[in-house]
Amino acid sequence: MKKLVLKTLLFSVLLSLVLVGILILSAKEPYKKLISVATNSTEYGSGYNQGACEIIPYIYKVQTKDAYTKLILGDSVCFRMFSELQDLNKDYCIAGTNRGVTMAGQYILAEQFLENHPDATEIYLVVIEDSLLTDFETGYGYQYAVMPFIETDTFTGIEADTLHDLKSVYGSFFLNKEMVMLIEHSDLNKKLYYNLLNKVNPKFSTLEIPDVSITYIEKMYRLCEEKGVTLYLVPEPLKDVEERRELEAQIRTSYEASPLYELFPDYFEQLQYLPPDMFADNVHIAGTREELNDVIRIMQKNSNCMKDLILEPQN
Amino acid sequence: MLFHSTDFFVLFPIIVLLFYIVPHKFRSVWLLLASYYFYMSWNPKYAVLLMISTLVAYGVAIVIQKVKGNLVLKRGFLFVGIFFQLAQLCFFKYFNFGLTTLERIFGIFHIKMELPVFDLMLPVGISFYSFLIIGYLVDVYKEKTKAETSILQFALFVSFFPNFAAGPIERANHLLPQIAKTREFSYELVKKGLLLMAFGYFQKLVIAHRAGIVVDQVYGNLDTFHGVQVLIAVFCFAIQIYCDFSGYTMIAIGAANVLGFQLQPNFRQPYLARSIQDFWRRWHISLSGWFRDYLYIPLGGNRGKKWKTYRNLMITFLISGLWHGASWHFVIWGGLNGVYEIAGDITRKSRSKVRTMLQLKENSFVHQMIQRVMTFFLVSLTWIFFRAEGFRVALSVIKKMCSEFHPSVLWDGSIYELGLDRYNMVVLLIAIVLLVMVDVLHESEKSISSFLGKQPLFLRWLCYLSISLILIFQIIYQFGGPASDFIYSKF
Repeated sequence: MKKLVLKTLLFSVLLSLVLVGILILSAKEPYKKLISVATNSTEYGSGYNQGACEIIPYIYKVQTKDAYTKLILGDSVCFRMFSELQDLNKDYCIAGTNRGVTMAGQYILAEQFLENHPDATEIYLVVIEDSLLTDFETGYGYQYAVMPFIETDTFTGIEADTLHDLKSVYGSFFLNKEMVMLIEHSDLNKKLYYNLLNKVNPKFSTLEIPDVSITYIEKMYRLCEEKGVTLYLVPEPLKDVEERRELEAQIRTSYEASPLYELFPDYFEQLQYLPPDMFADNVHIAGTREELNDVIRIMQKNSNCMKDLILEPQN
Repeated sequence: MLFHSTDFFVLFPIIVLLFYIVPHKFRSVWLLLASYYFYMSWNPKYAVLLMISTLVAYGVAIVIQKVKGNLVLKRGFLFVGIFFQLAQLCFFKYFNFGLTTLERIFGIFHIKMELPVFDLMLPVGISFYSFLIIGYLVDVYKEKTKAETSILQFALFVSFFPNFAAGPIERANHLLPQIAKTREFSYELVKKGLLLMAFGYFQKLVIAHRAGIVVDQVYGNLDTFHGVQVLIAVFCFAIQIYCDFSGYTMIAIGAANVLGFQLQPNFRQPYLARSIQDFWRRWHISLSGWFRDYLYIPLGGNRGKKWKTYRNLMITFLISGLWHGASWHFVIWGGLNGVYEIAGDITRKSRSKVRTMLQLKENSFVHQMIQRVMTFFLVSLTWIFFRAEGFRVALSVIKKMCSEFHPSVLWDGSIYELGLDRYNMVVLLIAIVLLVMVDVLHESEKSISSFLGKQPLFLRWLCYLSISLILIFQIIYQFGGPASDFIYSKF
């Protein structure tokens, strides 16, 4: 028995060392592709598994010292509607990203913008109500809310409570930069970590506004107040279907019971329902640039802000 | 809980460790708890059924032993015990099948009946533990074994987790004495068990999984495939079912070895069989043995006239087909095997004449190869009825296989339409070659594990490390996707 235990231990140590070696090599060229193919992990190197690569350019964008005085932040609906307008607008820094970054991520983007743009006057947080519900999830949370900010060393303004929450969802070992880089550069590591997260500690957003949204919208509000900047919370249009209206009623109840209601009491009043055929799915608006501009005009009218946002090329 | 699930990989070492740590007298209790936990991980309700079956069989066996002087009573109790098991099996497995069959029969006479179909969940392993219990009761009746007096040991015999979901179907006089005796730790047995488990995982994860992709692709899209592609899928299913079931058995036997138990072998290189009769001596040995001892021989076996032997064979094979699944295509699969056996017997003399005419020696390599290839081909044909969703689908598979037979698909790239890319196709081919080599070595009674054991430590460990890495890569390969079930665990 003793012999077997000793041999098993020794063998396990050896095997673990080899496995760790493979995990490290899987993030390095030229082994990366080979290991990715051999472990059926190639899909983790593309598409929906590229959250960090999607967000990092926006972190650099808000950090760049330039002449922008206004910032548009938001989720993927905001990205879809506003990103094409960047070239037309010299005052607006348009940085609509993804709801997966959570409000903590949106706060970091706002903080970085204000740090590098002392003349800033306005920040628009353009989000659909679902984005207010986004908590640190095991689905896409790590790659959107954690990786891009750790990779760019912008996680500094995060509260101790938030760090505690992040550790409980993602594990403290996976919040250090070396580990994040090892996951970011390896399809195999992404596959293993994302699937293990979902299996071992699955966590999803609920229909209650989470602490992370309350804390960081409040924090963003105070920061803007301190810097003399006006913060707007702008709702995106909703699909006019029965389920959405039911959902809205539930989210509104949770919102009105939260401190956010005091800061932005009009958020739900500005909501606009649009016909279902204007949507590509449950939340994303479809259509030509012209049609999207029409929707933005409705939003401008309802929220009474972003009035100087240029929607069409001017002669 | 599947043998290749993360839960099993975590729980099995804990079970083994605690098994050897707890005092001897508590080991059976620990194994019983672990077995029930495994069983309940599928569905906790199943455990109640298993418990009732165990208690009834335990009591009936003791009564049968007590009334051994009174043949009428003894028979009566045996009947009660068997009836109770079969009633459960029939209810859960065949009730809906019976109703739909009835509907069809009435339909032939243009009588429309709409019988309700019940949403019955088939308890995992019911076909296996029912047969295990029936075998035990018959053995007690025939006084081949004594009725077990310890309910604890009997419950473990019925529910022993390595083999309860898909066998091997153990015999009381083989497993019960092992449960009763004090098991000492055996380094060699544990090592052998781990190697067997590794080979089982190799069969399941490397071969069966990939072969299954080809099979699902072709059987699921029959309209798009024909000729050689369908033939490849037919052969792939033969490989898939062998590696899936043999893989399961290897893991089961290996896991039992690690715990100090020896289970019956279930496979002996079946695709190296030289006839259908030979095939059934090598395939699912524990079930074939069960049918032989508890059905074929009681029916009269091969005693008496030829037609009676053939009748007994057909009954045995048809019931064996039905045992596999409540569907007519399984019955046809069983029947086809019966027909093969009978045809083999009838044509024995004429085949011998042909062999003499061709001047082929009985044990010559060429003759053996012809026999093996023919047997493999015939068995693969029967598997079509086993795999297809129904009789009509099976017939269209055969029809498709014979139409537009263009061997060029093997080299013009259309082979990759079968669901596997180049990399996986190469892995599958190499793995099949390895499997054939292992089977050939085993056939010539050469043991790979003892060959490995004779190598220097460095080489041995390098080999173990490589095997472990291949398996870990395979587990990762399938990680995150839906885990494919073991085919036989559904029976």
